Amino acid sequence: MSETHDDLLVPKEDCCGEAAVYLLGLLDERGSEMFLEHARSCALCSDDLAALGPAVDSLPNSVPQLAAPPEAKRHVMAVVRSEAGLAMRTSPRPAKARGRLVSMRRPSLALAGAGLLAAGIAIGGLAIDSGGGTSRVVSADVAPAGATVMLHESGGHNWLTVAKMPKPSAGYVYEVWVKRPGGALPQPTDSLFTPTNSGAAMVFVPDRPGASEVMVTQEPAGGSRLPTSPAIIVAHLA
Amino acid sequence: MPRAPRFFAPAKASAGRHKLADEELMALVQAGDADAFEVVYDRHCNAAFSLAYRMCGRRASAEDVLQDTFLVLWRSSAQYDRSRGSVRNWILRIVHNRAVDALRRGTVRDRHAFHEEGAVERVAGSENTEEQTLGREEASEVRGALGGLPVEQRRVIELAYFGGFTHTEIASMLQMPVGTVKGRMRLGLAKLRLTLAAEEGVSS
Repeated sequence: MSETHDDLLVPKEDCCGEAAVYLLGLLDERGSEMFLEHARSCALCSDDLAALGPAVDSLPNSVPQLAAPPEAKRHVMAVVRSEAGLAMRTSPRPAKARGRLVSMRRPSLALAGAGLLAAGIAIGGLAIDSGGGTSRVVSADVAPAGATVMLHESGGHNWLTVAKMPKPSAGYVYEVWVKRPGGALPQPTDSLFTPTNSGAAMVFVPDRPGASEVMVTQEPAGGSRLPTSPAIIVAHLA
Repeated sequence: MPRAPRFFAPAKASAGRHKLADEELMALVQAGDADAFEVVYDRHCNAAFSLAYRMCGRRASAEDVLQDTFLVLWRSSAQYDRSRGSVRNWILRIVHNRAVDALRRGTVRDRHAFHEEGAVERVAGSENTEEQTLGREEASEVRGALGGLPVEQRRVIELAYFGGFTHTEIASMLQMPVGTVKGRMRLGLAKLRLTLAAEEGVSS
């Protein structure tokens, strides 16, 4: 159907503008549901939805085009690859494993006894490269409920991937630490991070020969030289 | 020697998928294909980031919106329905919703201003593919059509769409009845649609 100028531009008394308000994203979820319910039985609004939708869809095209930052892709793809790998491993379908599955060990809760982890410990960990590369299993204790963490190891380099992690308090960041066996204090790294709104982050863990644990704590912006709060993630390296 | 995880060397893995249309890729994404998702990401990340940056005005906020958008796309890919529009439009609607959420939460400080931080690069002009040329022509047409609207109509549309202000907030801001704001929005969008349709007719 093609509209004439008269069809499209003449104001419609009863519902004038409601479809525009909906299409521009100004209604909340409840308001949107109510409008769509109304539009099912209102020819005027139904016509407006069809007629005005393409105009709203064209609006992003008026924006100067910028290059997306490459680090955003690294974060997103790290989470996607991790979740794709997990889905593949938990799929009920029998599938040929593409990676070498190494046994998972239960996370050590000894650290909780040592006062490093808060209550409500969730078990995270178990990182296996999903793409047919080398499998690598670690275990991790994760304090924030619902959060998951994976430690990817490849070629001697470690990457920590977190999902559903709450943002640190205002003025704080998360800081990555490494610890040697028997070492009393963890060593600080330059890796500071704040998860995205969805709780995702991917962080490089600097090489520390002989390190046995990777830890994350919440620290004041800029990081600390010594931990000022309990560890909320502890990943045990083999 | 262990091989690097695939997310650091994606080019080979997703090579065959570059020839697929967005809708075909989404079918693979719905089946959990991360390589197909990566192609979708590469195709639309610049447009998504550009819209997010236009709305948020800050690189960090726009980057958050960009990442959240594509994780929503990955995790909610089953909700994509090709009968309701293109993949690009679906992605940009997610960007818009997430950016509006950020604006209304107050995580973006200044909703009125559009900051050019200078730290973000424009899409490189040297990569002058046919697709980019067509994109620039379309952008020019939309900007022209938007700029051709009466200022009072363009203003309410921009405040609503890019500023994330509700019609009630706009009415208060511009000191006019809510009905007038809604009417201007509708009339402006209708004119925009007709102008773009006319230009499309001329160019085809």
